[in-house]
Amino acid sequence: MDISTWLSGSLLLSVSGKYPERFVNLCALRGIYIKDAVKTEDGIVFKASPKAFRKMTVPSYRASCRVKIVKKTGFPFEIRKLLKRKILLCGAGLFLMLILFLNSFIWTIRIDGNEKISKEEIKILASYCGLRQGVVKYKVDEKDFSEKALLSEPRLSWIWPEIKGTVCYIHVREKEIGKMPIDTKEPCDVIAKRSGVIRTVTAKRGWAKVGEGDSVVKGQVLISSEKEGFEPVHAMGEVYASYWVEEGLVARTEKEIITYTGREKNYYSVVMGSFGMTFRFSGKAPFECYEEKREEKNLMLFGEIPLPLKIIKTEYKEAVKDKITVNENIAVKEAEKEIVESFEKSIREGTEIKATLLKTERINEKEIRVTVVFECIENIALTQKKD
Amino acid sequence: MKKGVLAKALSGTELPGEVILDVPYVSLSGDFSCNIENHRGIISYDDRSVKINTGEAIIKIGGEGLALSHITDEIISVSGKIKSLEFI
Repeated sequence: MDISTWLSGSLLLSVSGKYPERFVNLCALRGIYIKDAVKTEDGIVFKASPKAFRKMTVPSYRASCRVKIVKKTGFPFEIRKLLKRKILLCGAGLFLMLILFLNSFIWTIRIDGNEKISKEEIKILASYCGLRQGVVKYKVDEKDFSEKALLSEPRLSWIWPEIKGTVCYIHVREKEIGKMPIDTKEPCDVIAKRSGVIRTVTAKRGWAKVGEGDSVVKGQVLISSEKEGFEPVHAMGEVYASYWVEEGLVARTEKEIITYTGREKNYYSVVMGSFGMTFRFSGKAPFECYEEKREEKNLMLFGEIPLPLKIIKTEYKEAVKDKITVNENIAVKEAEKEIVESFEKSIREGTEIKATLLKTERINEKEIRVTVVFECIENIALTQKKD
Repeated sequence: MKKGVLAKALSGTELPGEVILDVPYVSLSGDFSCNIENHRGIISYDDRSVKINTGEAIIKIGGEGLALSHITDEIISVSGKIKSLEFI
């Protein structure tokens, strides 16, 4: 039955008498729509709408037939049955009102955009400004809240509450407090931001105090703003220096590798309330050797209201451990590769790795210490205001 | 005779015969559904045989488990296991 038929209602009718075929013809002539007519012992059983049934009086009389209702289906008949059940209707109405009532409050507060200021601090601030869990959402004035919050917290540049259902999202933006730029008219020196050996000095303004090949320490003046007989200047320039960094790790020739067999099993537990009552739909670990992965999911009502129920999914993947022996050179090469990749990720932008030197030292039969010395070149010039 | 002349005239054109000549239009879908347009009513009906008056001839549909799925003043739709279709 399609939805429009269900909404308008449908009757299963039975026509019996002398000339049921004549009855069908008369209905067809009068535009009374009949469908799914099936011959039975007594006559014909067919489906029609309640509206069509009302028009069947004349055709049934003329065909000397009797039309009986066998079954009533559809929304009009269901609703009539439901209206008789008053307590059920009252309960449904109360339930709806309860949902609407509970939906008028803010049950969850979520904060985003904060970096230095903690979520707890923002929640305390929000509570002070009148936005907290349990408050009526229609009473929250976003503009008023925002103004009050910004006046109370000087570290914020912008704050805005967005209410979606029963969740309030507080979007914040913090002020960026950075260093004040130095005025180019002020006298400054260029100092070394780290120790190293000078490779090139390009003094755009000021007087270079170091040259190629000189060793310098952190904080040492590289380009001075002062010279006898001259007015102090705002020193500027680029000073590239080399420095060396050592990174190492232990390479092993005997390794344990884990291979997954492909067999997996998932077990579920339900944890109820703060007491932690656990209902496990599982047993102990199904495999002798396995990898375990645990996922916890808090259940939410309508996706917003947290329930005191948590589902824990434990995934067991069967694994087989094997020990393999790796060639010494391969182990050293793998360790070197790992060290280089890790170091490359950690260096600052603008730093160039000029050269690398590999050192190995045997610790025992199975272990070798691998050390890589990196020679890096970086612009170590840093402008500093003169006191 | 008039219909015979009309039929000959129609054969050279693309006009629908069932409208001009007032003849029934029968369409069969597999062996499970048959639509008859331009009918004049049901003569007899049971689950093995349905006789439909079309003016020109009587169409007899034979089969098993026959049911009249739709009936209007223009179309009758018969469904079920259709085994034969005769013009009587």
